[in-house]
Amino acid sequence: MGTTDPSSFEVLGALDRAKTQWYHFTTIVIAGMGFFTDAYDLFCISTVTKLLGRLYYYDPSTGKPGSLPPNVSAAVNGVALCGTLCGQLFFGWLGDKLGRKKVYGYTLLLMIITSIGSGLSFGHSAKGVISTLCFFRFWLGFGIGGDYPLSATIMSEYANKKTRGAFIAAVFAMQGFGILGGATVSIVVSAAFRNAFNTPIFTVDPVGSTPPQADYVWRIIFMLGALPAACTFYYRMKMPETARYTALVAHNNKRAALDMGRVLQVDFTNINESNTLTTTKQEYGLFTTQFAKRHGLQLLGTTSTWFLLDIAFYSQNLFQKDIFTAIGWLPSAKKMNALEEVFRISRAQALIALCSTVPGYWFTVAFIDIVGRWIIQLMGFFFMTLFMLILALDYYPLRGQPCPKGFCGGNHITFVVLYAFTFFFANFGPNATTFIVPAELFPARLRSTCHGISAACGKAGAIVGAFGFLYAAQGQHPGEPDPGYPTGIGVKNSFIGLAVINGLGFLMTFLVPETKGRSLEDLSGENEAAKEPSNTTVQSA
Amino acid sequence: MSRRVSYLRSTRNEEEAALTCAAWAPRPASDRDGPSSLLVFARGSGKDGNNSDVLNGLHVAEYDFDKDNLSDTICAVNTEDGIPLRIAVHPKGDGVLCSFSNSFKLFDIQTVGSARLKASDSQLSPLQGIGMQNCITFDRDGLLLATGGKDGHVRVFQWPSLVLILDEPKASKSIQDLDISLDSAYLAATSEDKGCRVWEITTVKVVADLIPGKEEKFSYCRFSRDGKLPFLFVSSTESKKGGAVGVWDLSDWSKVGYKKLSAFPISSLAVTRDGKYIGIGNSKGDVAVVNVKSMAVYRRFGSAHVAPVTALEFSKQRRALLSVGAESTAHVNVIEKWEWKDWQLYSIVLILILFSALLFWLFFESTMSDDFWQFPMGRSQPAHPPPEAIWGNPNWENAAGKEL
Repeated sequence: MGTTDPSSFEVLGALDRAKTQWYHFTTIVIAGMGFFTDAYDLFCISTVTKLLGRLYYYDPSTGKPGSLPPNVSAAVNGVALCGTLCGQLFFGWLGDKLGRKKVYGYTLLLMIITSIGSGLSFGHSAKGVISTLCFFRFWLGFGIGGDYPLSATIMSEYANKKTRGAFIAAVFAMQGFGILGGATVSIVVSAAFRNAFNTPIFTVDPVGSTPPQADYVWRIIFMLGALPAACTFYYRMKMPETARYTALVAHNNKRAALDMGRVLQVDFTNINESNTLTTTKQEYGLFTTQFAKRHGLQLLGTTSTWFLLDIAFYSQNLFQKDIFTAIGWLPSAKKMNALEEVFRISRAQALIALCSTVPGYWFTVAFIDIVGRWIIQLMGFFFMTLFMLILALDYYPLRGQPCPKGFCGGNHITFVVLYAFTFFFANFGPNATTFIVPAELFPARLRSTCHGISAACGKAGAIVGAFGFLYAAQGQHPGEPDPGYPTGIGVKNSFIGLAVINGLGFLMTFLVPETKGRSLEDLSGENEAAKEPSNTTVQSA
Repeated sequence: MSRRVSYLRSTRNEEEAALTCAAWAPRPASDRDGPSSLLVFARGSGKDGNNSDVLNGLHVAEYDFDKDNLSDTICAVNTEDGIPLRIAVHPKGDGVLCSFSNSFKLFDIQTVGSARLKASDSQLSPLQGIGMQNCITFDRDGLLLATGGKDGHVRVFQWPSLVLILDEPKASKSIQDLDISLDSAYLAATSEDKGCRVWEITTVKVVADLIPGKEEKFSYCRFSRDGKLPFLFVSSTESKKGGAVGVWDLSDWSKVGYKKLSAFPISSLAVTRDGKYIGIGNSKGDVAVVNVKSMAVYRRFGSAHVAPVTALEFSKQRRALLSVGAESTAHVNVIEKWEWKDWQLYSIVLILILFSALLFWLFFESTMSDDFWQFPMGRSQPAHPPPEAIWGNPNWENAAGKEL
């Protein structure tokens, strides 16, 4: 049982009514820097794995550039996702236990240290290099995972009622800048090295096409990722605890008003300190029937939609390779040298990000407080299902047949446009809303835990999407799969599977309520006690 | 850290009896809080009622520490003598002593089986007719009873014989608070006009007169319950400066400390049974637990009440703090709920990191990892490239294997 006195709602009400002001934007950048780093590292790893393959897995007997064996590739890519999942659960819980602000600096610190660490290696052997990379990437993921629930919670608790959705979406949209930042760094670094060392393509000189200096390329790319995070570290430590945590969880209204008065121009003058009535209310925990009754379906909704979305979202990268090759952005690996490959992949990904991903994020920011989260999510899932189905049914005709130039025939423009639109509607759709809604629905004392749980389900989906479908998408007949992979169900069937998953996400959206324009306390029921003191009496004489 | 509070409140109905005071009534044999503890609440409506409703009476409720749950009234007894004004629970289980406007009554409390209160047979004749008492308290062993009268009369009785051993009819205009020290040697009493006066009980002599400063008023006094810290805490109010607690050393009655702890006057004071913490309640209804060593607020319960806190008492093991507000509510504030400490959580992360490093190292060293990584050149494939390669050393192949 606990108390929430009405004056805390006056403090929070003042925050809900506060005008949008400069500090809100500062907070977006401070909070968003975690996502910047997140996207930066997730983006870079796909180019880096190519480079690592060429550097450490070149086997002259195959006559092909080296590439990571499936399990190594899965380890390098997946270890960060696993770390993220753990970090989301752990830091989500910690954010409610210790306060958001207290933990917030540590997640960033962890990200900075591990980003730098992933660029270093222990020992003298190639094994040492890859092992160190995996180790640090796990903990990098852990820190990134911590950033999910904390950033979302902090932003939703700082924001005012009217533009809350846009603010949380803007934090999330920093991912877009992270992708662009990662691409820019990769392009600049690889271009610089390419110009400095005039290396031949693989078919001309298999060994010379991968200069030893290329080893520095991926290290520099990783370490530069720590720079923006390090720049915001100081501001993160200076950030005050959110008023909602202080007032509703730590129960210190004066402190909450003081903290907020320090950074925001909020008018607290009409806040009456000597409230007339103290009320009591059951402060139920996470594993109680009361929570299950009140938020159970909502939590099921937020976790399942995020899980389903991420399966689809992370498996989209699978056919990226085909897309890039189809439109001629990416020559075959043999026709490039190692640095050229990094440069080309980065450029291709940056273009996709610029044309579909980033606009998607900002469409969400612009429209979320107008049309609402629910509509956006529903619409996003709908179009993702639609485009996935089209791609699934028409994959081979659109892509064309393999030929020396890449793929011949087919309708490459439609192919790319469909692909770009799926990305666009993922971001102007469930990818953003699944992140926003869990930060708004639940009571303050469980908010970051519940967001962490939802986000962790999302990451579980990402693991399924990235690896389950990597194996599933392999050809159905022996000899068709990429070297090292067992046979799968084929690309076409995989797309049908993904379309079904998107459809399920569409259905699960009906479990999630609309949160637009409502105060957080209204949504979580935390101010009910203040409204109805009659049923709050534990005992009367 | 979540704060959890259990409430016991009267309804606003005028017909209902208002809560006047409350106290823990722990099971006497145990030194621990146990899974639950009994609480006694005194209620009075100011009316004499002989109907079935207990208008003036003592109520017993049970508090479950682990569940943080306060039960409904388990049993109630009509006091018959009018409004119960003060209660003191005998530490060894002799019962609940209740003072009325001009009389006393003892209630036996049965703690075995279902709790039950029953008016005791003992007449307490030396106590009858001594007037209204502002405070009554037993010493730690339950062998002394001290009373401080509204008329300024301080008395100490032996218990249960009720032989008067200290009698100060004109100690001050009116006694505000009194307390007996841990070793039962001293009695301290505060009053608005005379500050705080300390008697040695055996010799019946005044050993110290603690005088408040200019514009300062003493309000409540408590002896430390920690044998290693022989202190007397006296709360005081300085005009416009809020509430503070002064600390005096029992050996030479010198003032060893003074700390402002509240923006508003302190309206009640309590000490834990181990003396490590004191509790303060202020006139705004806030309650705080203060660490004696640092004299810093350890935990704050803002707005626990909406009126001045009139009484505070820690449970035996300071797991909870009972507070009574002038608006006729009583709260149980949980203090010692087991919570993760910051350093424990951070060390968990650190241990996890070290543990994962160990796992990585074990995997790294084992032959399993060679099968996993599948390097074309096997286990000892050199890290690629050595630094010399960059700087154009032609012999870089010989230097392969050097650390980067």
